[in-house]
Amino acid sequence: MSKRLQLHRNGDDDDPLTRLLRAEYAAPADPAYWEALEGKITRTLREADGRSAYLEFMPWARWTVAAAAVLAFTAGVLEWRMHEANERMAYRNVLNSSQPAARAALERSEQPAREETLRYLMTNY
Amino acid sequence: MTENTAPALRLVTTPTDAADPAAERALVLDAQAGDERAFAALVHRHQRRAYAVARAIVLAHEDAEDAVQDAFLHAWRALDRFRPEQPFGAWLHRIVANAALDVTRRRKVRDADELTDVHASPFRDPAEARNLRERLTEALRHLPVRQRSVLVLHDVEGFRHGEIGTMLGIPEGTARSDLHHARAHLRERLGDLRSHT
Repeated sequence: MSKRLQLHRNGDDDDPLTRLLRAEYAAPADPAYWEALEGKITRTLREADGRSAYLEFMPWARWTVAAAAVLAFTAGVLEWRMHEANERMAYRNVLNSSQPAARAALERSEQPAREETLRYLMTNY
Repeated sequence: MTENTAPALRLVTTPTDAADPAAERALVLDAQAGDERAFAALVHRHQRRAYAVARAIVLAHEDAEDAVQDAFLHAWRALDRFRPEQPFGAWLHRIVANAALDVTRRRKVRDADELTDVHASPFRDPAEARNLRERLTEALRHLPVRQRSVLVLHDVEGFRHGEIGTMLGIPEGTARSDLHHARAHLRERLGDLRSHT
């Protein structure tokens, strides 16, 4: 029997084209397929949850790294200032030192400047 | 065009899939509270219809699977925004339709040969069946996505115009008109074919 293909208004099972459409595009009927798909979906959700937990952690990690950097910088500045203060202290100690050699050395280092100032004053005034 | 009789629902269902709004609402509330098993139960209930919606839009089986997985993931993440007094299925189907449209955009062209061959052909002659399948696929691909989706959801899966409208976010009248145009298009492209059945 030859039958002209046509689309029935209600998706009639007797219509060959409707049957072909259904054969091609209907959802699988095998329950095993649906069990497998369900498993895949739930695995996807679990994996995504794992990733999202990691991503949620990431902002905290970024803040932690930033705070650590600020702390390290502050500690560096403090250490440098302490080092500078120690140096100044050591210099003053040398200046106030009563040891003759050190005083003589300081005086020698200050003498040329003092002489030059005197020479300038005598010449100009 | 009027719908004289409701087409048989083609989706495979089990007793647990039967509509039970109270049970479904309880599952939704549990899932919203973070219960993954409750959400898995929702997946179990809705995956077949979700697949049908996705398949109608993307045509290819593998793409439909991808869209369904994307959609459930999106639904899980957006569950806080869902109001439990609404029908979960309608909300989910909108998400599935959007996910399927995303997949379509990502993969505009797909080899028709990749379409599954496991389905039984209604035609005795394999060569004729193959030829018709190719022409059908080609004809469907030439349809606008929305018209194609309406056609497959209605004629293959048995959804009503109103349900299709809700799923695709279009008025029922538009779904009806899309179906009319889609059928006219297929009749035009495939009307010359004759089959010995």
